Amino acid sequence: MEFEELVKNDYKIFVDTSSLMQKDSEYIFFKVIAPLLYKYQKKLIIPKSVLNEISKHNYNKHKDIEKANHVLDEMAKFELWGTNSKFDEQFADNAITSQFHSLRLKYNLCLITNDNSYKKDGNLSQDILDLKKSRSSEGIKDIRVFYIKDEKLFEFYDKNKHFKKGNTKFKKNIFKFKLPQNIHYQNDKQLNPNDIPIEGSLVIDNMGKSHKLLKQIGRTGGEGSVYLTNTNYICKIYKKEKVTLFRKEKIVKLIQNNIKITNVCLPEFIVYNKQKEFVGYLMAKAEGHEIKTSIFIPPLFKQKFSHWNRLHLAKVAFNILKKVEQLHSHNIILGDINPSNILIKNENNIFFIDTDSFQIEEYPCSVGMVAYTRKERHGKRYDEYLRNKNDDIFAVSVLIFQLMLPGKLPYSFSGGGSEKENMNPKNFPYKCYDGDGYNNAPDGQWVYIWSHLPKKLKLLFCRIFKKNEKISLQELIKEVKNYIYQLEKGFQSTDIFPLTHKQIDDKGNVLKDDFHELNCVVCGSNFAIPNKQVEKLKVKGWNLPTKCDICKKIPNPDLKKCNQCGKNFKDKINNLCKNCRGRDITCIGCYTTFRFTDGEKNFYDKKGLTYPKKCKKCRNDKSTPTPTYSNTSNSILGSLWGWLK
Amino acid sequence: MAQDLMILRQQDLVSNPTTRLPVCLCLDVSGSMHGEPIEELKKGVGYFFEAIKSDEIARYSVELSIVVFQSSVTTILDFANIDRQRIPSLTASGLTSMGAGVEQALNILEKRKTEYSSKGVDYYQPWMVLMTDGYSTDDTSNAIKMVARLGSNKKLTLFPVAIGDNADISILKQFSTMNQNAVLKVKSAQYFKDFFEWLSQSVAIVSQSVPGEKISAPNPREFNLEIEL
Repeated sequence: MEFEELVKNDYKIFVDTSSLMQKDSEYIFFKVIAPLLYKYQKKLIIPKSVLNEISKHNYNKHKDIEKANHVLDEMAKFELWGTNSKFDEQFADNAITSQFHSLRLKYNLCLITNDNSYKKDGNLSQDILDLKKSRSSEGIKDIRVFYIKDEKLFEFYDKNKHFKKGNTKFKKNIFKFKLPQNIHYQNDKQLNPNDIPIEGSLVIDNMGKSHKLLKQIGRTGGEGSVYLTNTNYICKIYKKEKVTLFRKEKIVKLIQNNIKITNVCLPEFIVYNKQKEFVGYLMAKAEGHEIKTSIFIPPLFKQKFSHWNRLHLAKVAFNILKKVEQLHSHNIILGDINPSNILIKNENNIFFIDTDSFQIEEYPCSVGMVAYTRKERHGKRYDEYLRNKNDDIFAVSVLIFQLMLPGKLPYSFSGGGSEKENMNPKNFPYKCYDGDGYNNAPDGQWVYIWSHLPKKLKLLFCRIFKKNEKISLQELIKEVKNYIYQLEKGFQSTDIFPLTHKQIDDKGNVLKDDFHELNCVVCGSNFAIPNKQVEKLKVKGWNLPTKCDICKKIPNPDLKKCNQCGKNFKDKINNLCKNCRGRDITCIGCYTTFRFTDGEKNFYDKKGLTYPKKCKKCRNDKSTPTPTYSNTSNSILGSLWGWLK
Repeated sequence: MAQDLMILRQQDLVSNPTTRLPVCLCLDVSGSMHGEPIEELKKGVGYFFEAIKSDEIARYSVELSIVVFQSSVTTILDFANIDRQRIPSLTASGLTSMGAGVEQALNILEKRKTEYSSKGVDYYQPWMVLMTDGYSTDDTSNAIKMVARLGSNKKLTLFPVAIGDNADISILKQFSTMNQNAVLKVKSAQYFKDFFEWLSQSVAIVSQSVPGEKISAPNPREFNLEIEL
């Protein structure tokens, strides 16, 4: 390939010390390279490590160093080179290889070096070209190496091409962060930049490219503001007091390892203000609606995804889980998984945003939400401990649960309190095949939805929420995948809000639409009862219900609560229900007092029975002799006797 | 009607699973508020409702009610879905039964919490805004005790707001659950809008936060409010 083509096509052209010190370097740089750079408005990249090396040679008065100085000085006058500040602090040695390693997914790269001798141990040219071959990351862009010889620029070709083929040296090798035990403890130093860019400002990324902040997106958050740039990136600019060493180090760590996951909007470039101070980062653009304000609020759900059914929800769940799995494969812990950090464009395109909060190695994720945090972590500050994959799995399980029962948290139950108080395994209100039924399940359609979920998925939810067990991401992915399969094949109902419990026929198949729809006489809304139940009622000659589940529970205004037993009853005068009202009678067997309630009295009247004289115990115990009374022997009992008759 | 409203209330709770923030405005509409103050207060309340409605999350999370006190106490707006609420008109006359007003407001907040709980809907601990321009004409000691007990258990956030310079700051301070028993002061009726803007922003922040988590509300001073310590 002609060198001009590379310049024209925006290859990032790096130069190392050896080429600058060649005997023909001045000729090549001034006559060949500089005109092309000028023509296409490009720059060479001279890594800082190279500049350091040159200054070392200057100090030692190396014989060829004047050439390098001359080239750099002259070209600097026309701004034809820049440094790549990206890894300034991280890579003193090996700078070029490391930089190529991480940049090869994003850019076409080129290196001008004369380090290509096979006699030496290291051969930079070959090392660089080998980077093109690693199978670890698909989508590596082009890498070219050139060298200077006899007033000409030659391309260096891969000498190992043939015998490296099929060599197992390049294994599939996913970059993994460390998973340290101990948190990064250090007083977080505020960097106090002089200037915080605002709408309209220019910022510079670590490749030296400038971006204009066009428009702020959304409100200014707790950490800073987010802008759309003229380069179609999204730029997060921190508030002044949030520009800290911790943030900078963490973002650098994320960027330098160049992890790319589709639709996970990871930081891609650091951005600096005019004074070259760290102020934020650039990331890819995300699209769609937050889960929180689309799926989790019913009116907004209908508005934003009106045609959706259960299959869409299951696919969203699956795609979220797959992304978490991918992040975990790099040992990135998401930390703050919540419905405001995930955007949904459609069921197959979901975006993870706010990724600068991810936990990377010893840098914790310092935010979180109670409802997505395991109970054993409650009471700790998020920035005081390192989370692990199980914390993420719990959080994502809550989110998947909320996708299945749109918006409902797993621990919300009837009689509960705040989110935090509710989060106790014993409060999980749904049926778990463990002998317990629905245990104070929240009112509404939630139990119907639960009954429609596949058993294996429910058991998984029960394990994590009710039994407080740890489950694996793969188990969850497998069950959600099975659910998708069942929905696609029509084995499960695709209604998001089913009207009845799941109906299953004798062969174990799920019956769909096997219910009788009714209108509630009170509120007019639709409700349904299964056909099976309709038949039962018909056989018994009973009427079909007239009120929906909600209206059934609304207390009748004619009813009042009994002061004693708390049951509702219908009576205008009394404050006690008929089972609590009554007269106390002394038992003629054991002389204890027992209550003969109005309810019992009605029963006795109806059956035409004589009222009891003995308490229940004595009545059951036939051996107690019935004493005979005379009006004179016991005046009190006697009078009572008389009254009872 | 009462029965219909009851049904709607239940349905809202059952079908919307969003964590709720009940807010009760406890307003002084005594004779001294007559004229410009009551008109501006009406506008302010109207503005507050609109601000909540325009926020996607607050709209489905914040629930509002209004209790007014004069010689007697009336719940002029009970909790419901904000889309169904119409703001009733306010008329100023009579005395200032602040103690009874606060007690009534606490009652309806407690009732709403019970409803949340029985339907299995999560909630944030309630907020009350107590606004007055004068001195209470009834006994406030019981109300203060109730508020203090709830406040110390973090079960209530009460913002006392003095309207103008003639309000009884010392009583309002006793009601306050804010830091250092602060009392907010709206200098005059024309600043009601600023206050309600501050309130709607604070409410929006809470409705997007985690229940129980410490929140940082916007600084009242940026909204032309004074803070009396």
